[in-house]
Parts: sequence; structure tokens; C-alpha cells
Amino acid sequence: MPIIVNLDIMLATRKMRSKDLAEKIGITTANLSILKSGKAKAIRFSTLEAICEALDCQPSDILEFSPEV
Amino acid sequence: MKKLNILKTIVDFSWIFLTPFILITLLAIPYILFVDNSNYLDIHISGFRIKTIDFPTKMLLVTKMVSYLILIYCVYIFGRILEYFQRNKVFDEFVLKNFNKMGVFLVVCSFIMGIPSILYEVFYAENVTITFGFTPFLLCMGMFFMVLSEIFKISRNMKEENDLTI
Repeated sequence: MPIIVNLDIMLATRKMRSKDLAEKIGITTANLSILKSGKAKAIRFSTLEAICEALDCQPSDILEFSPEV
Repeated sequence: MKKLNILKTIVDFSWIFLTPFILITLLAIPYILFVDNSNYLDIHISGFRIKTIDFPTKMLLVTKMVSYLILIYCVYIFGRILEYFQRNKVFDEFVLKNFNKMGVFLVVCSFIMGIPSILYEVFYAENVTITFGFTPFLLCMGMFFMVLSEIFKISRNMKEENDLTI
């Protein structure tokens, strides 16, 4: 998929664990793992809003478009 | 799920009652093909009594029996599909494949049941009666199961998409 999720980088820069983020935004660690691995087909605005609030960042910091070669 | 259990019971009972018929049919096919039985059997096809059992008549009887065997196999497949429904595996690959398989078998069955009968009526009975009988119904059922398989495929994709929306 040409949409890349940079959640790993954001978590590393903020020294936050996946489990803590999942707890903060109210989703399961399994779902967060799907999102991190890029297997997710879609993301709800409410989830994106919660992630941005928890990590204090913009949606563009998390999602990136990279055209497929 | 109560209705599903009732349906599964009916299909299972049908399957149990049809099992001896498989054996009888498998024994009857070589008997019809290789034994001269014109004096012993009183066979009617499409309301027309068969007096002489020649090669085309034998082939007609065999195709009819094969089509009945296919129908019994479809009952078995349907039972297996209902088993998956009971286990809540509605969108399993097995269900999708077997709905399509059932559809194809029913369509094939409708043709191998209908066409030889019509041909036999034309050449032997010398009167053709067009009736909305069992074979068009089978054709419709077959097509329905094929469409159902496609719908299940679409539903599975939608479910996957829904499950992967975070």
C-alpha cells in the first residue's frame, strides 16, 4: 500500500511503548499492532485524533504517501 | 440459530435416507448396461412406457441415475456447509468454494436430466410435452447457489475491510 504509517518512529522519538499508547487512545494492542504493521485497510478520524492528541503531533507525522514503484 | 439446527437436522436425515440409494444406484448402473432386462423391468420415462431396452434407452437410464447421484452429493455438500454455519465459520473458504461447486453440479444435473429426456421423447414417444418441471427448477437453484457464492465472496471482503479498520 502506498500509505506508510510512521507510528513506530513517533513512539520511539517520544520513548513511549505501544501498550501505553493503546491504553491512552482506547484501542487494543492487537489493533495498534495491525496499524503499525501497515495491515490496516482504513483508520477512523476519531482514532487518528486520539493518536495525534496522545503523541502531540499532526496526522502528517503519522501518515505518509509514497507512490509504489 | 434454531432454524439452522432444524435445517441441519432435515438435511442430515435426508442424507441418511438417501445413502442406501447410492448403493442401489451403483449396483443398478452395471445391471442396466450389461444385463438384458427387457422382460423384467416396467420402466416409465416421462409417462411413456419403455417396451424395448436398447442402447439409447440404457444410456438415458444411466444418465438419469448419474444425475440422481449428483443430487445426493449436493445434499451432502449442503450438510457440510451447514456444519460450518453452526461453527460460526460463515465466510470460510470451504463455504465459498462449495456453494459454487453445488451450483455448478445442480446446473450440470439439470442439463443431463433434461436434455436426454427431451431427446427420448422426440425419437421414441413421438410427442413432445413442454412442462415447467423439475429441471428448470434445478437450473434456477444451481444459478442461485453460484450467485450466493459470489455474494459471500463480496461479503467476506467487506468483513475483512471492516475488521481492519482501526
